[in-house]
Amino acid sequence: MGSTFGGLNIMTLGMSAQQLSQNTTGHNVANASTEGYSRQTVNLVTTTPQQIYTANGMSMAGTGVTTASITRARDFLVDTQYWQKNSTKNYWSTQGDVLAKVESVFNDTKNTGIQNAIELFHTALGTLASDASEDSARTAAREAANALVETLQTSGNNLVSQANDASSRIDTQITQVNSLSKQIAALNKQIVSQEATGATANDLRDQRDKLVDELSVLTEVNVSEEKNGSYTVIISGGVSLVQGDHATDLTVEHEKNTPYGYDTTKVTTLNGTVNVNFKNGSIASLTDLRDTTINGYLADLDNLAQSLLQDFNTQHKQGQTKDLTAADNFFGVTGVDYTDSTQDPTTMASPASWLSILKVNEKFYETNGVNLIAAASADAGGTADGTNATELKNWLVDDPDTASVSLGKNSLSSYYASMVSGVGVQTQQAKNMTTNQTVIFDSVATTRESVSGVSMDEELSNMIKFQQAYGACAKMLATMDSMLEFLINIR
Amino acid sequence: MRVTNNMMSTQFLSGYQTSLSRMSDIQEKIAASKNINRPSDNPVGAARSLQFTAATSANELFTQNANDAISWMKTSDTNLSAIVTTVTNIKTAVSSAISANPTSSYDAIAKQVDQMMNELVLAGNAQVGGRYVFSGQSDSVEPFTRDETTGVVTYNGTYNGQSGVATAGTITMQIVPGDINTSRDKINLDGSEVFGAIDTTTGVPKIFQDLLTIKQHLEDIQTGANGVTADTLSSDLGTLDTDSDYIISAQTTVGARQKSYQTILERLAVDATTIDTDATNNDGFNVAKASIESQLAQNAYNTLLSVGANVLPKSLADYL
Repeated sequence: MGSTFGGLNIMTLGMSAQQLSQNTTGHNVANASTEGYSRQTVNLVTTTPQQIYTANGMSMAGTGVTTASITRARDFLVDTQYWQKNSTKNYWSTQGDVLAKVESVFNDTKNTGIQNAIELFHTALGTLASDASEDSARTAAREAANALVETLQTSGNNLVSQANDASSRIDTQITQVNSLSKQIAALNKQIVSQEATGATANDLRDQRDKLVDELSVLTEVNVSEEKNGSYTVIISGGVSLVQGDHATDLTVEHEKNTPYGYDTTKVTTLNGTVNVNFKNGSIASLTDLRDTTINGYLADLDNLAQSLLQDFNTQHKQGQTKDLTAADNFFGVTGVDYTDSTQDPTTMASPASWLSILKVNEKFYETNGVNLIAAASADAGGTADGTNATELKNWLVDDPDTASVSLGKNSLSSYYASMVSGVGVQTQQAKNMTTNQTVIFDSVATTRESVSGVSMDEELSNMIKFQQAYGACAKMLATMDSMLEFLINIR
Repeated sequence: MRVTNNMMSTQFLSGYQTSLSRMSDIQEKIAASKNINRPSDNPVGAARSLQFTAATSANELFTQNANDAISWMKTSDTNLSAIVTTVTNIKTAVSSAISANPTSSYDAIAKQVDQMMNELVLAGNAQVGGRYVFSGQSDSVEPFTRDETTGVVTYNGTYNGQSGVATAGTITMQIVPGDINTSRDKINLDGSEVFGAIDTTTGVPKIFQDLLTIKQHLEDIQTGANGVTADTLSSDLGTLDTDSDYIISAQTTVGARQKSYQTILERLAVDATTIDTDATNNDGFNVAKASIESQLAQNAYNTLLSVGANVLPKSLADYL
């Protein structure tokens, strides 16, 4: 036989359980658009039944409901996938963003780029060949050459500033990594202490997962959960960023690239004893862009500059000035033989790029300096001979028979054309990869949202369910109360 | 699969982005009338379009050269005609001296020849755009100067074969790609090609030397000095014939060359159109196609917005 007032107790438990559920539903609805929030559910269980003696022996009578736990809807496997795909997606989207800027340096579709400068120089030399006695034709050739030099150097400077930008972004992102790992470590500590009592620290865990989400934008992370509930975060190369409540600090060392002079970064940890190499994520992407892609295009531009200083000058020296004397360098400094290995600026004591020393011979700017341009061939009879100017003009666009040190069997023009298509292919690939990776990432993100996201309709229907259950409990209580009233009023 | 409100709004936003970026792509193409606006739009096409712009600029250069060359050769031709006429006039004058004449008319004819030599010098010093056309590679130097007292005409320009250099008097203007070919790209006649071989010591062209001799003969015949007779003048006529033929053949060369430059100029114009067409085909932009694409993208965008606007705001809350 159960207790007289046992029923009241059951209903009290029922009402508070429904109220807790209703509150949790409210918590879900309130956090529907909170980033990183996963919906929570109250898990109800029956309380320990009571043994009662009936006419037929022992029976178990229910004693009501209680809350076993409040859990969040989360799938660690999906999270792991999410982090992995997020890193890959951000690797490619960073590639796409930066390459779009690099590509604009080599954009000749609007006739403003290097190709246009080459063509203007080509035309100027052609005009000079037809009218070599005319000073204005010589001046035009000098200025067109100067424009080409400036275009090449501006392009080089653009690339260098892109590389510098990549380095400073890496700098900021390492700071972010350090800040994130510290926060994760702090949350690890809180979660471990709160969960020691057996509860699940749902909201703290959501926060911690969100921090890992942010970290996975920057680099590929390998996360494992320890038995006590703390996360161990390892990045590529086995560097453990977070272990328990300890976060490893990463330091950035700044250097300068030789010979191009852009800023480089070296990321180390443990007082500089271990080098950190990132994989995937935006940091790795920026590093690759700077050290491989942009460096490669700078090297290409340098080859163009080198060929102007070496091969163009060699052809120029085969001609004669307007005064029919032997010609010297067109580019660079008079008297310097750039084909001599001792004049290679990249191997000098303080290395410089070919591009940085490229300039139109300063002597051309002195009085009657344009006369030093060798339009005439070695066996010219007078000033009107433009044979060498034609040779120079052809050198710009005709592939040579013998391979040159800098451009191989390419003319300046065709070498540049292959650079342009190279940039185009690379940028196109980055764009396509970004699209593909975004699709893949979106599908994982959708799966995660499907597991953890708050659905309004679902919550509202739960709301009605809990409301009705609460109401029913209250009604039960009232009924029991009136039953007791009968009992009490018996005379 | 469980669907949540956030999923729908994320999906809507990503669809919205895709749709809008497609519209912006098409808009960019239409605004520039080009499909290739950056290398990554079509890497192969972008590299090829560089070739077409290079071909266009080469074509413009060659067209410019051809026009310059034709104007040069027209000037040469006009002046060569004047030279031929003058030499013919000299011939007439000299032949009129062969018939018996009073001494005064020899003197008049000699003066006439002297005057006509000045005309020849004037024609020989013809210029186009400040450049002397018959001065070889020294186009900024006046080619023919006449000593006022002796009447000797010396050549100051350069000429082919001078000091053993075969092309010392050649001016070229390139109208086809490749290396200079002096026989193909030559546009000028130097002093020796117009007025005969230049005496290496005195610098006097053969025809001017001949004329000076004839003038001397006309003066000598009056006194009978140096054994000059009417026969001498007759043989001088023969010399003049040879000289006249020499100049006429030079003029013919210029005429033929001018014709071939004219032909190439016409071909360059055709080439320019071909290159333009090729470049347009390479880019492949088509206004009609682009407008239809734009229309389709706009439809997709409108549909997306309307569906989004209808579906997104609804929830169970509206019916409770």
